[in-house]
Amino acid sequence: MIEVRSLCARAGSFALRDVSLVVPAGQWGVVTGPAGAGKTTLLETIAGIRAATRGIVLLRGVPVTELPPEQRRLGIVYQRGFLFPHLSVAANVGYGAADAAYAVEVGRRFGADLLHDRRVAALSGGERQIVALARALATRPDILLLDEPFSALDQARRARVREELCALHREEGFTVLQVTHDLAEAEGAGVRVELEEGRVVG
Amino acid sequence: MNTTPERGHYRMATTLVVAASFVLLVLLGAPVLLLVVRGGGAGLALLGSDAELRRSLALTGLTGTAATVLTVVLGTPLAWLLARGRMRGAGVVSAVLDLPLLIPHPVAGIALLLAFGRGSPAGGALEQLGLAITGSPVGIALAMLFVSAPLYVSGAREAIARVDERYESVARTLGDSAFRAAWRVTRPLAGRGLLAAAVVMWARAVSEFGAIVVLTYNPKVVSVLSYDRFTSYGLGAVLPVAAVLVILALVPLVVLRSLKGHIAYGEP
Repeated sequence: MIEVRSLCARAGSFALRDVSLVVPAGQWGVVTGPAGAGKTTLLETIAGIRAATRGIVLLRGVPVTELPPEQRRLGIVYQRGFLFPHLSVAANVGYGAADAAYAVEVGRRFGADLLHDRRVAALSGGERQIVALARALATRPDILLLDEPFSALDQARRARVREELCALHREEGFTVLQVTHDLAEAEGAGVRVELEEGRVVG
Repeated sequence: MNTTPERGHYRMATTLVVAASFVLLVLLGAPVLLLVVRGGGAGLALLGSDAELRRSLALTGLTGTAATVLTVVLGTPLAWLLARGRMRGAGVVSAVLDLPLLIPHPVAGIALLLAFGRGSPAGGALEQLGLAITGSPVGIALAMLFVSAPLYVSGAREAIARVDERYESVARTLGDSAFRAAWRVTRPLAGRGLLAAAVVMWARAVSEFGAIVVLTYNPKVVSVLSYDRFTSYGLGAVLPVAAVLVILALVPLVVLRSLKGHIAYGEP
């Protein structure tokens, strides 16, 4: 479960103000809103990458506001992927995985295994997103935070990756909070939150 | 379309820029070129026959390397803290780091003498450990570190700041502590920049004179040896030694140039 109560955070001159939301365990929540609404800041504050200036973050029903990211047992996938360019694709996928066989299996399911012999710098934006997704999932997180993870994928590939992610979501039962601009992606979500200028507006 | 007067102004501006650049390049390059032309051949021959010069070069290289290695070990974590804005009083720390670059180097030597010389508590303790700073390679390395470490920390801070912090953030969500993420991700991504900063520091360290000569005249590093031969025997005697130093200074310059072309390392 992801729960935030009256969450405030700062990112430069931008401020996230009094945001509250609940995504029940195993559900898929979606955050929408215009550019600069605070969607990424919200995900980063839930992940512990950015400090909350006020409010509480609860994961699995436990307050984690003061915990560092490595103790929150979650995965985050940025729009740009942020693959480690000094490592191979395979090393990226297995970076934080305790179970190497599971990491290989997750990589195979998303097609990242086909990219193993490619340099990270030579991957397309869509391929980076696939590898980044596999890397986050290979650690078997309870919570997955997705910041427009399909934006660089073409329609056909986006449908395949999304389908595979939904299948894994059903099998593993992790909780998802996804930022998206795509209203079609937001349609089927269990929880939907709309942000504008750092506040929840719907 | 350009009119004739505009074209004339453009030509004049171009001529002024080229002339100004030429004057500066001549001011910087001509003395060095003249030194190499006049003393280069004799200097290289001297390397084979002058044992004192070889000892001096070895001492300079070793003390410069020791100072650089120590600074890399102590200064990289500090550069990381400064680059990531995770240090309270970063402004004061930066000012302290810049100070050695601003004060005259003999004054730096005097300050070191005051802090670590025989009469000081720290100097007494160092002497007990066999690490006297006057008249010893330890003092030479300390003087080199004092005057050139700020160059490493500043370069390392820039190299680390060029690596997007979100690489570290992702590594932390994958289970790394802050230190482990910096070691496994930021260090290799900033590696070439860190190496370039170390080369700059080393080059500055081995060319130091003012601070070293206050602490340690003997054994002589090459800058002190050059000065000693110039004051004792005149220009003719120092020319070959000075030319050798200029030729050797090209090594870090070439390394640095080759690194600069490859410093960018990350996602396009």
